[in-house]
Amino acid sequence: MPSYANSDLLVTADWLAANLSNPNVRVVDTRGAARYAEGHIPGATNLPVARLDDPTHPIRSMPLPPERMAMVFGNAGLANGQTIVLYDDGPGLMAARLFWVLEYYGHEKLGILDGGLARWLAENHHVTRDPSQVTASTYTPHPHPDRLSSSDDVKAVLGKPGVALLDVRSHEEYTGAMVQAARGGHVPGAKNCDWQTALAGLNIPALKSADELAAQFAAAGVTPDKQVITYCQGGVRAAHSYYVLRLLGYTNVSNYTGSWGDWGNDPNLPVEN
Amino acid sequence: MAVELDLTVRPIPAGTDITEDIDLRGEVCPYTFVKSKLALEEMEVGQTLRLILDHLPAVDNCPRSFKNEGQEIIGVEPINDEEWAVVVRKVHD
Repeated sequence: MPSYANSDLLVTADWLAANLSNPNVRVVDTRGAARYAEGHIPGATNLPVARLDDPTHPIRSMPLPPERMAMVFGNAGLANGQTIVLYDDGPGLMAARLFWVLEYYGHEKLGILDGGLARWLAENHHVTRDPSQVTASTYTPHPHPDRLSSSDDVKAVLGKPGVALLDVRSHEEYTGAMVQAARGGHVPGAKNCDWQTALAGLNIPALKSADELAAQFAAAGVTPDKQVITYCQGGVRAAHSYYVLRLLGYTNVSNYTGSWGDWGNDPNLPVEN
Repeated sequence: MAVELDLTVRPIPAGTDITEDIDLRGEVCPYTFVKSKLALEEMEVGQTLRLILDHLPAVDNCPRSFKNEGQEIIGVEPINDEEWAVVVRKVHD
């Protein structure tokens, strides 16, 4: 079975266990503080992804601006040259969101723990309740605007060949049967591929094989030669699909993080049902 | 640019009887709504559920989704700089 083109982005529990003492590896628990306190991978720093959006921005799901993100990352002990390994205790939504944020801010060496905390435990690695000792460091974000799309960016590519708009919400949200904004439906021309279809299992989260995923995306017209823009309701599920596409080797991918919470509430933007 | 959402910041009336709290701090969409919806399904008509959230998109999405499902939004207000409370009254099963 062919492995993922960017298999470095998926870190095995055994590799992580062998590198927990590596000073160049930083493990980040992306869950809330309460769940972190219940038990986390030894040495992991806690960086709740739920709190990394900009409260001053009119679009709710916009990441903190560079100067504030620099402070947050620095206080969590992240440094530019480190290899950062992200995890959560679900199917990887939180880890994927931070993966996208870090790639947007130019971090180059990072990956997600395959199977998250569930597989870590299933493979008999231990966790601790002891808070990790974190030494604050200096982090300098280098934004990559091509990894974040705005509604203007999406509007500018509507109907263009060579661009794939990927709506990763549920079919009900896509069709407008379930409405979570002022209007239901989807961005004209967007194809629907629910983010969960990338998963092979939930009890111990796993992704489908590279071949299966490539076939799914190809069926939706999402091929590596295209510019791909993912979106959902608020940029989290879209970040998971962004991550999967990056794992498969897609290079021209961005997250429309405003997503339907932005597009569906703007009466000036076209909608398709 | 997003338009102003009508559900953002509606003070929760003083003395509102809260039947149950659900602490969703650390959770992100779509689980914020999924978990709160499951909690509301277990409650009786007329009872109120207070969601404690720190994921900003959820502060818009959860009230709007409950409203679209015909439940009543009693209020949405900040608790502090990073946390929000949303109170929903169950109107129907």
